[in-house]
Amino acid sequence: MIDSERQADIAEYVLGTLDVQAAEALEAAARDDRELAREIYRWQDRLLPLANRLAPATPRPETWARIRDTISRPMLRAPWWQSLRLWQGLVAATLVVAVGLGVQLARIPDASETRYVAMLQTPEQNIGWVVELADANTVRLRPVGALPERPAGRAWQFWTKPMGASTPTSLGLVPANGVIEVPRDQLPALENQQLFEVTLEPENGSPTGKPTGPILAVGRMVALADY
Amino acid sequence: MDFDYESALIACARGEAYALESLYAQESRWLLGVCRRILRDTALAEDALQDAFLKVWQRAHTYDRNLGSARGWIYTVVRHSALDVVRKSGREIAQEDPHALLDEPGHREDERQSNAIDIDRCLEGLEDSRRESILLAFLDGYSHEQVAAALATPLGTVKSWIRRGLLTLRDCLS
Repeated sequence: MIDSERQADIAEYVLGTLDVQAAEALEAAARDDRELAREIYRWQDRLLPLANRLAPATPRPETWARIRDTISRPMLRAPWWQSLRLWQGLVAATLVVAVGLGVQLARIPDASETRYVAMLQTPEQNIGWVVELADANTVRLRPVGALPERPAGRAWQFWTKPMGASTPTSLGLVPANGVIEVPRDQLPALENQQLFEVTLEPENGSPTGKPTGPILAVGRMVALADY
Repeated sequence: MDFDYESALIACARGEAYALESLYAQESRWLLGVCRRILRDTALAEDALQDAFLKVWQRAHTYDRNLGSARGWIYTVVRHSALDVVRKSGREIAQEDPHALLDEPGHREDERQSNAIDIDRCLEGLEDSRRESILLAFLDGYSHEQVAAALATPLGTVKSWIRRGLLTLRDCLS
């Protein structure tokens, strides 16, 4: 149940009068709270008819041309893994596969009962790698089944991108055995829905600090809380 | 035939550029109207429109059609983009007589009128001060402080008008 103070916050968020910090906190909370997200959408639709009062204005042709040019750059092209259909099935599939593979869902002792697992899916929709907690302070990437081909002079690079982050963070080059362990405090975050991926990069890693090569496998973190 | 905003936005999430182009063709005039009213400057308004369409493209995968309309989602992205431009420019928007800006006739004839009639009726039921505060915030993108200045009213009073006014609107619309 959303009380009236919270309701007013949500309405002010949509209206645009909520202060920046509170608005960001609300957006973050809505990612995990479906009731809150639903109420944001309701307010969007409640207030929408007010926009009909405004007079239209025709944009200059250059405005669309700039938008078109920007979205046609590869970095900004919405990638295949953002496909809704893919993700709708994947969260459920992840849990099933996790059980089937006997994945160790590492527990973080004491501080939290949350367990984390991400299944990184290849473009062919196979599970290529698993991201899990090796222990409370270590995140481990390990392969499932056969490793993908690694052409000479190329490297696998491991990345993560928390929800809301503008760019991925490199977690290092993956050794030939396909396993890498990263101290948890080197991750920008560890949270539900956080993206992990492995890309094929030049031998010494991406020269730009951002993924440049094809995505070999990608998946989102699922946080499993004990209730 | 009605434009299918939901399908267009979902196609954007799949990376289909034509879908963004069709949304732009359908809605950009109206959205530029939204930006121009908030920014009072044609060049800044076009910048905000451009930012907004890039955000629509990049965030389309977060849209959930089970929760509400794509058009409502898009207008929120656009209005918030225009408000971001206002904040970044740090510019005080010229204060005009707020009363001159209110109570415009509906421009959009092609939209389902019943929703507009409902919210108009509910707004009419609000006290004038609450109605004006909400419209200044929605249409002109005014902050609490700007509404307070425009209506020559203490900030705390304006905040309360807006919050209570919104809750009354919700009850009226439900």
